[in-house]
Amino acid sequence: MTPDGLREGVLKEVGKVVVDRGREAELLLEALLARGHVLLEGVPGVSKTLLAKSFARCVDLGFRRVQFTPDMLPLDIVGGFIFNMKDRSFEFRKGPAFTNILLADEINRAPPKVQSALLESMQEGQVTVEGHTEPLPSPHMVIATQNPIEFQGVYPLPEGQLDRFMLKVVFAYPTNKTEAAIIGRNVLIDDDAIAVQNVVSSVEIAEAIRDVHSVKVSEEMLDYLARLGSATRNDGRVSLGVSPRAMVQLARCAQARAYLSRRDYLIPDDIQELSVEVLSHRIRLRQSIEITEESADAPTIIREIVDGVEPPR
Amino acid sequence: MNLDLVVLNVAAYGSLAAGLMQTRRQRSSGEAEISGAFPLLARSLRKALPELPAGFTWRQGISAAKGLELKLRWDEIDKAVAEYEAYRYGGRPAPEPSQPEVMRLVEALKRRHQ
Repeated sequence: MTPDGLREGVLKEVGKVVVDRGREAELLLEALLARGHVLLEGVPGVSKTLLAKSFARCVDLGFRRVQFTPDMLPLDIVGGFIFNMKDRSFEFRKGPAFTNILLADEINRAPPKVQSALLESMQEGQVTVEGHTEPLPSPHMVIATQNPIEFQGVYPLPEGQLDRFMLKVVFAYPTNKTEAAIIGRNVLIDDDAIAVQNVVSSVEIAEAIRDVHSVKVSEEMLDYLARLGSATRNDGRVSLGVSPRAMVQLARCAQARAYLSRRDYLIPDDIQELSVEVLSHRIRLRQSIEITEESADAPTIIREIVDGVEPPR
Repeated sequence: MNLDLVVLNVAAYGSLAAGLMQTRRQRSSGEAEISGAFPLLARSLRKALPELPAGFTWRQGISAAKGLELKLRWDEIDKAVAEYEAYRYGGRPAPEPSQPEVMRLVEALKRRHQ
């Protein structure tokens, strides 16, 4: 399957169910091909879960959904040892994390110990319980959804956990036109008439992941990435800049974007177009900035930093 | 007999070396020209379009220049920029040294700046 076919196929299938979320669907595809995880943030009812479910349906990969709740335990996610009465021995029972695409719905409703149970699985692609290590299926992608932290009954994700997400995609409210289309689709069209088709096989996904990995990143582009990372750490408005891991994630995601644009090399546009989604959730602003300058949110500051760093030309 | 062979070898290897050197010279002069034309374009874009941020990319610069409604063959310019990107970032061979439409854009931007 060509990169074009892959992209168009996924966007067409997701578009059957989710109105006007093409860019978000494309970001999910880029993260999957770059072996990253995605955090979808937005108020309830803006199609976060619907998008994640439709995306998972159009690729031929294992999919599990877990609704996170305040009374969850780590073993509800990664699994644990259960006593087998027949054999009179403990056996490891795999949790829902053992799948290709895990939808962690409302991740910030679960307490921190459950959130951190996902850390190893997201970073290492494996799970360790009581010294027993089990590899997860490959590829392994976590798509988590969360409500904004101002909402009641949520446990904010710590920086270490946030850093594991390659992308954070913020879902804004739809425009009036889009909202009318959403209402029309839900009221006028029978749900059963809409079926998302599986358009990409697991073999094709594996091949695409290999091709993405071989997209060329020139020495000058590496230098550009390093200068961008450094600029976030030297900006007076930022108290915590991005880590080298963040820049690795940005480079990988940009490789996927280049691949889907039918290029086997990275250009500065690939990096710039993804910098807000990859970097915004990894910086911490100085409190004085957050209090005094209303417009100075993290995405705006990232955009300004990127605008100030000259790419190789 | 041996002398003839030596002369033949010298002639064959000499022409081969001369050919190689000429190809290298042509290639390096092409690269020098091409890498001269595009920095010129970058400077012209910066001067004619001061609203462009310092971090502008080729595509952003060309897109902003299109907004000036200059009468140029933009498809040729887009193609030239794509070829230059492939050379600059992808290690592809240098594009054609003469880029008349890119140079026309440079001139148009210069006139606008003046």
